[in-house]
Amino acid sequence: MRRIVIALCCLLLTAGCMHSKHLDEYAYAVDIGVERGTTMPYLVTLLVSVPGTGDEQTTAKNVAISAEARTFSEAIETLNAAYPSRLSISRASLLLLSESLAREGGQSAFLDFSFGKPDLWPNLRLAVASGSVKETLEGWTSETDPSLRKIKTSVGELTARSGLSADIGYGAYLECVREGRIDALVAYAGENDWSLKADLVGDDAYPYLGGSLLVSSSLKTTTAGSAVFDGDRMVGVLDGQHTMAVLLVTDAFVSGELLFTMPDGQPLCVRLHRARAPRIVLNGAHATADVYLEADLVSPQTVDMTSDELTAFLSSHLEQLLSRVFAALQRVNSDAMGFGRFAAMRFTSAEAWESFDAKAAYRALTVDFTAHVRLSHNPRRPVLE
Amino acid sequence: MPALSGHLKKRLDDNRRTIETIFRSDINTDLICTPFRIGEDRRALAVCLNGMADERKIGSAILRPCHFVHETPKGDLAAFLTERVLTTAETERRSDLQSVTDAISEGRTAILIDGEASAILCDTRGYVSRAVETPQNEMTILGAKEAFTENIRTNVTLLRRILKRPDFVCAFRDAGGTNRTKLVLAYLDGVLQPALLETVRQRLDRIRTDDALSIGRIEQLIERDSYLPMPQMLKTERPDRAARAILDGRLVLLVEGSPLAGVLPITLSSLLESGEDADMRQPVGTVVRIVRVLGAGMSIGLPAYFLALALHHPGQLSGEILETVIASRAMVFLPLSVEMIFLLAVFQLVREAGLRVPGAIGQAIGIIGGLLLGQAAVSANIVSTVVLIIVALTGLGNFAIPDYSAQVATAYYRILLCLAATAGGLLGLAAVGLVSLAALCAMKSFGVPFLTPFAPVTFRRGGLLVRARLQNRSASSDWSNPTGRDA
Amino acid sequence: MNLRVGAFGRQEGASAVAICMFGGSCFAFDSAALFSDGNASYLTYAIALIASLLLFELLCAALNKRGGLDLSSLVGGSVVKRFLTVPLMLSLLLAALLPMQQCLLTVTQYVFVDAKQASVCLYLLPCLTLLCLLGAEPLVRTARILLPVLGISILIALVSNASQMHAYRLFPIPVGKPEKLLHESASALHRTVSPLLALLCIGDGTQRADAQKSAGRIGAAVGAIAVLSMLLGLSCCFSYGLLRDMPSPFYRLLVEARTDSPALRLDRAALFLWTACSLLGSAIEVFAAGVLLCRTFGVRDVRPVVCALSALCVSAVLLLYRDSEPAARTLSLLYRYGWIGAVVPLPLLCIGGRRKRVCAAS
Repeated sequence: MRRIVIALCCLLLTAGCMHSKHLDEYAYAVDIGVERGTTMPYLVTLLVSVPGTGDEQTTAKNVAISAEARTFSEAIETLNAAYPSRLSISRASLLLLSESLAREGGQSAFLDFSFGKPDLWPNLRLAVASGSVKETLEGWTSETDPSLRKIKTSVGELTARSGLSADIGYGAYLECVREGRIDALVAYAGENDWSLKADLVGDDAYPYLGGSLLVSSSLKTTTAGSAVFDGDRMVGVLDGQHTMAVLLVTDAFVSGELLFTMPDGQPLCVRLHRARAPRIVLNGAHATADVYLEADLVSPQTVDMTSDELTAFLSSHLEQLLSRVFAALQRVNSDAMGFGRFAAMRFTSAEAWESFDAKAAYRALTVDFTAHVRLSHNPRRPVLE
Repeated sequence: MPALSGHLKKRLDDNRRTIETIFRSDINTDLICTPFRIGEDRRALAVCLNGMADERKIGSAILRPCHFVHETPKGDLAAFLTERVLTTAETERRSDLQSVTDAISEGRTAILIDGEASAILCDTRGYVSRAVETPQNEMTILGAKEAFTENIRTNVTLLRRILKRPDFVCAFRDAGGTNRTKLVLAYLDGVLQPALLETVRQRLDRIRTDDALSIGRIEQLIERDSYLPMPQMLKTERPDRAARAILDGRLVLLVEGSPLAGVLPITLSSLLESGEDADMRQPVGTVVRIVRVLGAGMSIGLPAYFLALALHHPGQLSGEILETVIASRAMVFLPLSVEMIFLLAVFQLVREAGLRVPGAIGQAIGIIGGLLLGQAAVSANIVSTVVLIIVALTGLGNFAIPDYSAQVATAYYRILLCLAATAGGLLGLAAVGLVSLAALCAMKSFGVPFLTPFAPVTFRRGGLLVRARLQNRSASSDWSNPTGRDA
Repeated sequence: MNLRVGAFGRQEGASAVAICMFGGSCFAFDSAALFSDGNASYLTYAIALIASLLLFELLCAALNKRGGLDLSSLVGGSVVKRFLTVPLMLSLLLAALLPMQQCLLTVTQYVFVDAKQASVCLYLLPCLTLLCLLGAEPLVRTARILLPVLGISILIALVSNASQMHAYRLFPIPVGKPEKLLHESASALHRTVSPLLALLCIGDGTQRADAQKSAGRIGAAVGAIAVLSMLLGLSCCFSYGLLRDMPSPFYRLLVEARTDSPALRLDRAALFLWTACSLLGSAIEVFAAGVLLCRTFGVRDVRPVVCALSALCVSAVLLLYRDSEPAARTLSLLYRYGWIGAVVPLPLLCIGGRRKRVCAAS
């Protein structure tokens, strides 16, 4: 009996290593970029982290390497063959697509469930670059701080937290494409060129758009606004403030600042906070969407309105903003606001749902937006009001 | 050679010859036979071993009083001497050769009288033994500072000074084999589970070897599952800890020549408790226990978990940790698994060297070995700083375990898990860990499952992490299964 | 007879049932079939659980009537009934091998991509055999220890994904086709009845009928809570369209909430904890099958039997892994109709038999 046990234990330990490879034998890509190549269909760029040796002479830095190929996996293999260490994309946190590729829907050829299996994060963030992907990625490197991961992650996350950009993982993107209930809103980035561009809504050439921020810093690439998708194709962009409107309805909004124009023409900057989850009710071809917010006046600190007047003003302008953005999205057939989520609720079988034309229903949809704003800071508000 | 199963004869010369033959007095010159007379006509012989018996006691308590006997009574002379003449505290009459030779071997004096087929055994033990000192391996701050010695009598005395109860029993017996090492079973009669006592007795009866010279050897001879590294008996050098175990309804073994007491049955939580846990306040005691358990867990699992992640699942490490590890291993030529096992082996080596080298030098080696050797190894690119820190944390966690046997046992599990992690990553770790856990669940310490009170669940009087509040009543642990009245 | 059943309490018995239920239900199901027509997995599982509990109560009543504590008491001296236990044994082995097969799939697809399936099986085989050789007592005690850890990991997995769970993903709920619901419930029955069957095979370890009964009920309840919460959480995280193409959806649940936080990511650690629990559940079922075989056919020592059954299980796992049409079809059939071997013989075993006192076997 004892011999059997010992034999079994030896069998376990000599079962063979699972092809281990030391972690220092890999080179880790922190970002992946894909765009159309000049010679081949795809140009894949990897931003690879090169660690330092821990002493003062060499510090960590990031280098961009690119390869053209017929498919994404071929590009990775080409890069592997050219790079001294074995490349690992398991730590990549961002997948950047060029706008031209996204508009064609070219990413669908490789962006499916098997993409990067098994290591790649399902919540790998997606973004769309307005110009060259390679230059956009390089615009995120900085000589002053080698820990790019922290910088870029905080840039992406902070922008999303400010409500000026969307934050979507490729798992959620796949769900939008595969299920067809709703459409994706993807972060928009670009190399900053100080030019102002109009977005889908077209009412305001506001600078909160990736690559169009009026900012000069050591990071050449900026992220703001979002790319709107219809299925797997990009159909337009929304600037930061319009993206915030969409996030209000999809419950991805936490807090952010909006700029309004008062009746006297003065700008009014208000900080909004999510008070509770929005309430959406879908009744056939009509929907109601109630958003709940708390507002703080940022500038000017005092206005010549009572609380009720200010609240009504803010609510009314928010409702108009939401309607304009919805109309723009409806025009390009993109359900980025996510009304399609609730369409399946009235079906009792998968066949009935799958035969339902969600897009046609969306095109015929009318929505009433109601903004419930509670003013939490108004210096003019009487104490006993 | 006369058989030890025989009895004494009436003739003094025959008995003398028999005893001298048994003790090989032609070679063993330390057998002392002092002839003397009781009264006018009765010849007698005092037999003892030089160095084991106290000659002054023999002179003052046996020879001098006998010299003053002028008239021998007509009746039982041995009874007369025992009751009226001899002044030693402990005397008994035995007629079998085995008892007489055992008594002489222990340092008692046998008085043989011509015409009597029995011997009077007097307690004249006076051999040199170590004084009661402070514990060497179970240091405490709040607890008592006395430790057991090699003298079994002294150890029993130390226990009796703490347990002043009439039901506290110290049953003397032989450990087994022909060496007849003295052994004591100390327990509370009426509280200790009779089945446990019977089990231990039966297992002691089965000992045939002469090698039962210490508590550690006796533990291996009477336990089951001796192939498992975890001990099934707690060995302590502290009388207060042993006394607390006896009050808890457990059995304590003392062996002549061993400065440790064996406490049984035990569980995993017994091995992770220190002697002063009960002396601390409850919140403080709880924090200390949590630190200790975390240390123990870290000592077993940290190197293996790191190896599994670094070799097979680097994606699990955060970016900062990954870059730090890569940077620290930039010039190291050893593979990571070899580096880790090498450092663990060096740690064991430094620990053993520190134990064997005497005095202050031994302590210094621990410090020097740790600091200088580690620093030199990093500078020489043999090991990396990250792995060195991991092994240092492992070592600290190991020393947080109060029981020495458990500390050594964790080294076994540590290496096993490291090998499993190297071969199969988290899969290997999970497989070996699961089998190890199941083996621990299968293990019993004299009938008590080792992982009580977790599996099986019992009423807990204190858990592994949270130290129970000291209750103002007598109670025992549920799993020690005491009988009758409360302890 | 050396059957190594030992003695254990109610909590340990319940833990064993709960862990077997978790391993069987969270690892062993056919995503493509289960989510092909909408997602009613949590409904069908609940129906299957209720049916299993009714069957368990029936068996306990029959055992009580016979005065025995384990399933072999229902056999008596009948030759027909002896051979009725063969499908039960096979059913237990199937319940053991399906989670292992799924674990193998998950590990080779997501973790050790370059490793051969045989290499991974060489870790499963000794582990399974050594566990079975230890006997029932250590197995159920290990289950008792691992169950709270498992519960915490499930809670962490659900809580960390809470922000991504939305009720709209549950729809459409396919209640429009009751026959399909029944068919799925029947398929799920195998996963819910096997743990209770395993408990009844080693039931004399509980030493009392009421302890055995309550262990089964409590274990089923705890297991059901764990599995139903996982199924609901999964259903709220992914819609059915994604789930039907997703191998190992529960692993994806762990991975979904990963972020590059400074702390270590624990999804793989959680995966292998679940794998270990699933392996433990399989070991309990293999051991139970071995004990049933020994008691029914009078084999004196359970150890060679469990060694053989473990090897059989792992070989079957390896065979079913092959990327071939017959293997895939066999696997699909086993998932759908494995319940027949578990459920059909049981009522037949309960029929007839005289009341007699049977001393608990050692």
